[in-house]
Formats: sequence, structure tokens, C-alpha cells
Amino acid sequence: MLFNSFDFVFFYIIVTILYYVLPYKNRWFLLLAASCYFYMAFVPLYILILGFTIVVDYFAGIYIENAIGKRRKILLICSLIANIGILAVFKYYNFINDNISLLATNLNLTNQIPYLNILLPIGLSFHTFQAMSYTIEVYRGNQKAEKHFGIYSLYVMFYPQLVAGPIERPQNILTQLHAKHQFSYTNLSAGLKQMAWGFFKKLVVADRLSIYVESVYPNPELHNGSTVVISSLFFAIQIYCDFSGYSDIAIGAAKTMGYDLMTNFKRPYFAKSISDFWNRWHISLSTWFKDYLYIPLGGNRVKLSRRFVNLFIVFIVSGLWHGASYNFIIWGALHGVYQVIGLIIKPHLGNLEQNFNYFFLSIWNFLKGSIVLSAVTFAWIFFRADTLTDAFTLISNLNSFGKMPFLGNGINQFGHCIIAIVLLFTIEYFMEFKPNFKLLNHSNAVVRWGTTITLLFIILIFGVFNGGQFIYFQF
Amino acid sequence: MVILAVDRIFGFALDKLYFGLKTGQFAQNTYAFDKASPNLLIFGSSRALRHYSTPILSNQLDLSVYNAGRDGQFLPYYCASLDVILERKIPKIIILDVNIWELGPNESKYFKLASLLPYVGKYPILEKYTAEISTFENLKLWSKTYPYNSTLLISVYDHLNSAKLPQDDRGYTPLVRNVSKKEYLHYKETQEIYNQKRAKQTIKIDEKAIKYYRQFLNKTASLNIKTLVIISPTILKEPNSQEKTLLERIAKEYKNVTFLDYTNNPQYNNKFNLFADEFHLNKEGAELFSKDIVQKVIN
Repeated sequence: MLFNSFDFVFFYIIVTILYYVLPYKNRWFLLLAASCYFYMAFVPLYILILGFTIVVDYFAGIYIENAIGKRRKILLICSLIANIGILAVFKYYNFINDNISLLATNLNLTNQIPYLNILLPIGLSFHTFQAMSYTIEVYRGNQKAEKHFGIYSLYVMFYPQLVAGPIERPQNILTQLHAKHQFSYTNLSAGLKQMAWGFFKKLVVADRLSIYVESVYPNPELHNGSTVVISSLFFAIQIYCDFSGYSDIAIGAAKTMGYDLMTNFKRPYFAKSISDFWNRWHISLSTWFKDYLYIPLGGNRVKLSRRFVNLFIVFIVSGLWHGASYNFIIWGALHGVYQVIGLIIKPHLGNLEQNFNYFFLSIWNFLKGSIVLSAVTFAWIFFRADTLTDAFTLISNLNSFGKMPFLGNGINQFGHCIIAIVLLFTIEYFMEFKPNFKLLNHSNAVVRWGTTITLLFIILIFGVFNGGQFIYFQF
Repeated sequence: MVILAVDRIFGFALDKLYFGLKTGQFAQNTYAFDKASPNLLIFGSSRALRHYSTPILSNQLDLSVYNAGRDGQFLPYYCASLDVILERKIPKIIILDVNIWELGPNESKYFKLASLLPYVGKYPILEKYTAEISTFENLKLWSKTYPYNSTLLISVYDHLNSAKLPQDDRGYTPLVRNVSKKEYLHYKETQEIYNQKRAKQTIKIDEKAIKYYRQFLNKTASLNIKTLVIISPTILKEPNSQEKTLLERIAKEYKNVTFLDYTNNPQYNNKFNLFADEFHLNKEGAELFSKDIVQKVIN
């Protein structure tokens, strides 16, 4: 079930009303049943995979807690192997097999390993990572093993964040799943407003820009450099609004029932460095990699050259997390390289900036922001292109920059894209630089309601209501 | 209550803006649905709109003509327009200009039926078409603002530029520019790449589009309307495809239908001076083509 579908509107209203109507002790069951229904609306059979992960990690948690010495580690490794094993089969098997075939061909051999004709279960990487964080935290002693099977299942399956995050930590969500949530108008209002903002990002911005991007990226050989630049910038904004829009709807929907999910995005295109970008982009995944990969590899406590290697490993794995293809590996590697460059030049930039007055510092910050946006957008080309060849064709087409760009399905379509972008960045500018200028939460009721209704009607008038699914569902 | 009231106010304003247009695509839609009652009626996409010169067809055939072609539309939209217009008038001849991608997989052909939403209130027959957009589409029409989704920008633009917009002649809106040799060579180069790519793909035929194609032809056959199904000229030769073959095969099942394929016609292929862009004839090309069609109708 997609958040941007009418089915979800009905589903959400019914579940939220029932949630508050039902006695506290039955709520977990309602949420679990609703989450199963939500997930099964995609491919019903795949709930079995989710069920397998839940059962394995539920018992792993209890056994790890009760075990002592090396046995704890062995149990954790078994649980991790089970989780990564599912990912390997469904996500990476055919990719690995492709590479074996390529190698075999080069050695004049034939690869006899069969290909699997299976669909990737929706949101697999998200709920697998969430399940893994539970067993790791129990192993580290930061989290008590959950004894209530229903509550544990809900930890993995809670419908708002089931298919595309935020990837929660057990310390944040499990306690909330046990807590008794009273109806609160403040939570309802805040949640609905966040959902409306998410719908704005998805329907008005992401799905509008997607129409243009979809007419360029599948046929890279047909488009000149100006079009590649525009479509890549549009994709950068599309993917941000698509994914952060999903997160806002998820966080908002959970909030209306009294649950606080972690913040997943903080206006990443206002970042002034690549590390700043990653502190603002998909925060729940970035912190996951930091906590469970970067720090165990040595984190910042190792010598600089080793730190570079660690960063590079983290970003390559992050690329692979997104998908089993060289496009994602290159995307991750590029971000690894950006991070390393950032670390090298950071001290020099710090010294330089000390000499700037306010005016020059503003220009300097704008320049840094533009460089970050350009670098990130360049990496997105690999992320979005269907194949590596397509990505290189698009990049080689940049030579013909300056020619008249393709305007999509007429100036109307392109005009809507520009309006959507201007609206987004104007609002985000105020959120970033004037945090007290909160129209949606203004103390004056007329301003507050006026803004809320305006936002709803902007969605109704400018939104795209037949857009596709969320990009990150495929991961 | 406040939201309901605002919805009605916005809906009213957008309705006035939309139906108050005198020129542009929306005005042409409205005219086709509300008033057009010619003896020769043309349906199709932007290629129909730019390729069939109504003055030439009208003068040389001595028939009233209206060109109801619409930018970016496909068979479901032509069927919807046919249903609405036939309620008012049964023409003697219908030209259905189909494009070579008509039966290919393309979900957007159903999403584009959203352009019918402003007319559903007036023509309930359109509900079955708008239901193709999404399951709850007709429920969404409870909002009076929603039917005008994505129309505001173009409505305002057309109002502000009504004097500058090209005026249509009974729907016909010719294009006046010429393709340069450089552009032509670029099209040729990219088409080769595109065709190679396409040759490797398995194209899945859209069964629903076939259903609409048959629906259109069944309707004209039941009313005994002489129908020409035409794939109008293309700047480059189009290789034979499954979709093209199917368009022809189905058309030939009907006695009242004549099928004409101009995609491999040397009179037009590679004559870039007759084209305005990769997909459309210019005014000169459209006039030449329309004269050709006149001869076919007479014969």
C-alpha cells in the first residue's frame, strides 16, 4: 500500500481511530494486524520472509541475553548470518552470479549456477537493518531482550516505518511500544501537519519532477548536456522529496498515535560540506553505519590513512545497501572520495574562513553549498541511471552543455517543476535560517489554519495524484 | 466546514478560469465537447492536431470539418471524445490518426485521462474513462477543486496571452517552423540508437489499449460511419513493429474502415523541409498531406 494512494487514506483513518478506541492492552495486536495488512498489500507471500527474520531475531535476542562468554558472540553471528543471508539471496545472489558469469566468460568457462527469478521483497534492507540493530544492541547490553513476541514483531513491522524507515533503534521504539499513549490533540495536530508537509514534498515536488526525469534518463543518448544538467538537478530534488516526504508521512502518522520516530532528514541541500550532507541525509541509515560499521572499524581513533580506508569501506557498503549493481557501488565510492577530500581540506578551509568578514563568509558558504550540491548531483547520475553505460553516456553528453534543453511535455509541465522547486526551497530556507518563523505552528490561529489550508490546496491544485511508488521502496 | 467552503470557492474560481478561456488547448477541448458538430471529425494526438488542415479538407470535400486532436493523448481519450461528440452529432466521416506507440505499454495514457475531469460533471458518460486513472477517481470528484488539478498555470498563461496564442482553425493548429538539416541528421542518428535498443527489448502489447481501439472502431461501425485509420507521415522511416502490424490487422477487420500507413512513404520520409520537429509535419507538410487525404477520401 502506497502512502500516496487513496487506499492509504482510508487505512490510516480506520487504524488511527481504532487505535484510540481500543483498550490499551489490545492496541499492539491492532497495530500488528494493520502492519501485516499494509505489508501484504504489496506481495502477500513475502510476509513469510519477514516472519522468518522476526522469529530468528526474537529468539536470538533472548538467547544472547541469557548466554555468557563466547556463546553470546556465536549467537549474534548466527543471527547476523541469518539476516544477511536473506539479503544475500534476495538482493545480491543474481548480482554475484552475473559477476561469476563474466569471470567465467573471460576464462572461456561456462557458469552453471542458475539465476533466481524472484522479486526483491519491498523494504527488505530497511527492516533487516532494523532487526540487526536489535540483536547487536542486546549483545552490547544496551537493550534488554524483548519477551513479548507481538511487541517484538511490531518493532520490526510497525507499519509507518516498515518499508522505507526511518531505521529505528530498539532503545527508542521498543519502550514506546510498551507505553500507554493517551489521545493528544497536540500530537494529532503535529502529526497531521508533518504528514501534509510530506505529501507536499511527494505529490507537488517529487512526482512532478519525476515526469521530467523519467522522460530523460531512460533514453540518455537522445539528450544534450543542458538537459542532463537539468534532469540530474531535478532528480537530486526528486529523490530528496520522495524519500524525505515518505519519512515525514511515516513520522507524522506515528506521531498521531503518540509515537516519536527519529528524524531522518534535515534539509540536506543546505549542507556546506559532504560530511554535513551526511549528517542531514537519511540520518537513520548514516548513524546505523556509524554505530555498527564505522566505529567498530576504528572510527576516528585510528590514524588518518586508516580513517580514509574506513570511510571508503562504509560508503561502498552503503552503496551496496542501496542495490546490487556497479552503479550503486560507484555512487557510494564517489561519496567515499568526497569524504576523504573533505577531511583533507577541512583544516585549510578552517584557517581561511577565520579571515573572512560576514559578507565574504555568506558568499563563501553559498559557494560551498553549491559545490556540495554539484558533487552530490553528479553522484546521483550513477544512482539514477539504469545501467553503467547509460550513466557514462549522460556524463559524456555534458560536452554539449549550452544547447537548448528539452522542456518535457510542454512549458506547462516545466513551469510546474519550477514552481514546485521555488516553493520547496523558499519554505526550507525559512526552516533553516528562520526557525522561529513557523507559520504552521503560529500562535495566531488564523495564521496557523490559513497556512495549513493553503498547504492542502497547494497539494490539491499542483500535486501529481497518479505518481508511482516511492523510490526507496526498492531497497 | 472551512475546508469544504474553501474547496467550493477554489473550485468555483478555477471553473470560471478554465471555462472562460477563448484560446489554447483547454478552450479547444471545451469547444470539441460542447459545440463541435461537423460532418468530418478528426481524432488523435498532437500529430492529428498538426497534420490535418481543416480549411483544405473542408473546401475540397465540401464538408464541415473539426479537428479534435489533443496533445499527448492516446486511444482511451479518443474514445471518450467520440462518446461525447456522438451524443450530439453523427458525422459522415471520421479520421482516427493513431501513432506507432498507441498499443505499446505506457501507463501514462490512462493518467492523461485526467484532462477529462473538468467535464465529468457535464458529461457523466466520461466517468467510466476517468475511473481508469485510479480506483477512487470518481470519489475524488467530491472535491470541486480537484478536477482542475494542474490546470491553473496553463489557464492563467492562456488568459494572459490570449492575443498572442496561435489561433486554431476549427481545431487545426499548424506548426510553422522547419527542421534544419543538422536537426534531421541528429534525429537520424538517435533513431538508429533507439531502434537498436528497441530491437533487443520484448514489447508487451497493452491489451486494454486494444480494447479501446476495438471500442472506437465498433462504435463507428455500428453507426456506419466511414472511418479512416491513419498513421500519418514521419520524418524517418519507421521499421515494422508488432504494434503497427496489430493496428493494421484490427482495422482491416472492419468493412467501414480504411487503413493508411504513411510511415514509410517516400513523399514524406527524409523531407525535413516538410517537418516542424521530430514528430510533426509543419504547415507546408500538413497541407500536402491533407490534399493527399482528400484524394483518398474521394477515391
